[in-house]
Amino acid sequence: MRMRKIYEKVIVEKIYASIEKASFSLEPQIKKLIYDAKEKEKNPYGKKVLEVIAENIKIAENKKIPICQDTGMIVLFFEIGSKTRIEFRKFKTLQELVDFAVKIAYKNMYLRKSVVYVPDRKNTATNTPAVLWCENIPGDEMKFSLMIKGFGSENTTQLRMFLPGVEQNEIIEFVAECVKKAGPNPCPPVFIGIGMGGTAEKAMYLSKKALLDIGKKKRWKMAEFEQKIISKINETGIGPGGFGGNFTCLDARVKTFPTHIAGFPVAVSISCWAHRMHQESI
Amino acid sequence: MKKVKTPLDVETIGKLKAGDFVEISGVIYGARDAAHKRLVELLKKGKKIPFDLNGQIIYYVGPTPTPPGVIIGSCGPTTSSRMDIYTPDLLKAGLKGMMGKGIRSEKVKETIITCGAIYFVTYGGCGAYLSQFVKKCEGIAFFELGPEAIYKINVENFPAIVGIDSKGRDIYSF
Repeated sequence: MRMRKIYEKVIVEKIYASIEKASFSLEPQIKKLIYDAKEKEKNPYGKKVLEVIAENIKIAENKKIPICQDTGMIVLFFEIGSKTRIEFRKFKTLQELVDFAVKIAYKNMYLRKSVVYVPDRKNTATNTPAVLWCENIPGDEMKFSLMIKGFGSENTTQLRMFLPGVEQNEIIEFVAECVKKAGPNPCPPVFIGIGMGGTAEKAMYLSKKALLDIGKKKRWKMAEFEQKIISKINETGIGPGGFGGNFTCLDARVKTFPTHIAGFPVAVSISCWAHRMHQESI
Repeated sequence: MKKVKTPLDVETIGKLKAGDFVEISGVIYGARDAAHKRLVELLKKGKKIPFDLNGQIIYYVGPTPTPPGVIIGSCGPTTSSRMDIYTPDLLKAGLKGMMGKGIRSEKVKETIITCGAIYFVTYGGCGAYLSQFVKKCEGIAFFELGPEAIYKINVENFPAIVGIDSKGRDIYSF
């Protein structure tokens, strides 16, 4: 089988550029959801928050100031074509390569180094290691999705192991309850990723991966369920900033995986309005 | 819009109601999780802490590093509830104001009432916007904590909302 060679330098440069994009600007599909909500929000506090958010996005882009001071942990989802081969020379592993790119990006771009060792909580001083996930895909392409994940929202993550016979509306209730419990902490209006099925950790993984689909074209199969979730969450009235309003959740996406006859894991990942991500193909 | 000057006095605090939009000017102190832990440890040991708490506002912030030629990096609020376990001790030691984002515990709310203090909230995730209201910023203590050091921050018309007023009224329970 002929393998397509991919050089370390290319991957490092793409990751570096992705961190730069995601730190100082939001993807167009995310901005559109925020700006639409700003026009439609009825609550004066909620509207004010969305106006400030819009202003913040503009200042971050124009003056190159990080959108949020929590420049997060880097989460990277790689999809590696089975007909590709990374030419490792300088680095021994993909993790090592990724961490190199993250380290220089955080230093050069004056991003906050928020990663600490566990359990002693000493800062690693480089914002590494990144959280790295790799999947194998057919073909000779390599793709990655990079997410800058802040912990105001990460701390509100939930997992519930439902019984097999759980009804759809119980799941919707659970997701809305997660957002209600989180209240103002994850910086609403939020984006929701839901992972259903698999094992506990697979559901968690899927919920994070589902956040990558935010604002993109809906898949008809899940669109109705996702819409019900959004509506249920918005009934809470938490609103932008948690000060009340019509818009608590701007989009929700579901990813599924077959599960065991004895269970039904459901995981909920929440992203703040500053959903910072970027996708690249090599 | 109400103007607020630091350090805070009883009269100013008394006039502010939960939900009021305010603009804060003067010195505020930036401190978050690890700095709080240390401050409270020092207070409990009866030792001196790095700044005079009386009438001051602590802003729950860990800014991004300051690039050359600018005043401060991105500097939005962090989640206040993580500071709840430390806040009552600081209020009892003279602190009058806090600023962050999100709900506070009942214990904090009670202490706010008994100490005649106030809790401000500001715009979560809007660190670029909020940096525009900072006129000066310097690290003053616990430098080894990196982004969790204590910062002395001069602000002018820094926008915030009264989250919990001195009577215990809470914007999040409206």
